[in-house]
Amino acid sequence: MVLRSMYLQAAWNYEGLQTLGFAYVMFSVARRLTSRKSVSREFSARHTTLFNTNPILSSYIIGATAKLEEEHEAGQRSAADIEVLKSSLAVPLAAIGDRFFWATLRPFSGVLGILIAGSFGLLGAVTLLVLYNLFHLYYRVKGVIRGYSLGAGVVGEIPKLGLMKLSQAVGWLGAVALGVLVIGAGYAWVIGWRREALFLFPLIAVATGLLPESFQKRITEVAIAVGAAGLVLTAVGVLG
Amino acid sequence: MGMARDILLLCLAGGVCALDSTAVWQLMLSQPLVSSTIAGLVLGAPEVGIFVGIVLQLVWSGAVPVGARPMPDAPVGSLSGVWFAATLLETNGFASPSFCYLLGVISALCIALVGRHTILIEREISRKLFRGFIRRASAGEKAFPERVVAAAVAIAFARGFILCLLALVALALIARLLARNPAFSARDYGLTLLIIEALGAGVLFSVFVRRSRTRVLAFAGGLVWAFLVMNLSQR
Repeated sequence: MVLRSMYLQAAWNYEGLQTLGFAYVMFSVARRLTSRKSVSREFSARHTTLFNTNPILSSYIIGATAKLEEEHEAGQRSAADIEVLKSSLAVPLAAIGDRFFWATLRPFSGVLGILIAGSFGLLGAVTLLVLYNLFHLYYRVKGVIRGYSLGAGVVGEIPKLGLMKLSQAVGWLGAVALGVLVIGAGYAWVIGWRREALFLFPLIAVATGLLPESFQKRITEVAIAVGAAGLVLTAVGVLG
Repeated sequence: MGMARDILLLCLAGGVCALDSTAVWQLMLSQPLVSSTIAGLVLGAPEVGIFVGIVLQLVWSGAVPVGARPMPDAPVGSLSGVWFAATLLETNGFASPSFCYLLGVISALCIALVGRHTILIEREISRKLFRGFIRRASAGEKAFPERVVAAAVAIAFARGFILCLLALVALALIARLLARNPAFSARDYGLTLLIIEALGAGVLFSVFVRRSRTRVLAFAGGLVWAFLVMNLSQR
């Protein structure tokens, strides 16, 4: 189940979101339960309804749903219980997981990776991978195990995840690391280039950070425009 | 032969990283610092990979892939950008490394933007696969999600591989054109690279600092600490 959960977004699309990936995991559960190659029409209908959550924390839903399917097969649960569990867990886990993994841990791993790459080269990429996957793989595996062992009781597990507090702590560390990076980058340029960089780098960084989010969402286009303008202006001798 | 081997390896890495970015694993092999470092190692120029990777990681670290928002194809952009920078650095006549690095970064950004459109095409194909699966399942026919997932994985890999191949071919042609007129490459393009890096750091400022006053203090603490350490270490 853990390995199959890694394919949750394999056929991600705007219509079905993660539905097909979830069916991919659950169909294997059904085959194990019934020892038949094809799944029942009822089962198929239950697990092809719209599904979307954070892919990493989906492990809790996958484990719990597998357990409930087992109980349903033994006649201890209704099909409605399974559908309620799926839909009630998807939204809170998406909110918690997206905030921690995408909006906090991923950029923090990036900043730390950059800081280390600046001094120790190859270790920067290794740090990024190790730091992120330490949490990523832990929650992938733990989610399936806890979800399967608790079944419907996994709902009570969500507040105990501790990811909100962890987001706060990692966010604080990220702010400190960014401060170090901004000065470090300025110094690196001072050594290789000119003294103004020490002030220019933090100034541009903070000014950009205070601009509206719509500007930051277009950072790729902005960077291309700045790069092209810089290229032309340096070539003709205005900059550099 | 060496160039063909490099291109083949980079295209394979492009396919794997394209898979990692959304379709499977999400181990962060697709992060620019990682994919650029991989490209640098493949090309035997790790320092080029690390430098280009740092700049691109700064630009894209703050981009959050929440919901349906299509992201620039950072891994394929990074792999191609590193190859371009390394190729230009090897070309005789390009006096300024900053010129080669800047062109590597700009090409990576442009290819990533083109890649975003190919991601939309991939999602449309996935939607058709999904519809076919649902139609069979709801009609009571035998439906195998494994086959659809395998097809989707193959498409994601092929997208990364082909995009990387096309990008590298286009960049090889541009490198040839540039080599004919290397005179303007003698200048120092470092200021532009610095501004691009600072813009990326600005997006991270928005992610980590902007929404919380207490985090402004943490950021300021980091600034002061780094300033003192750097000053002391320079003396």
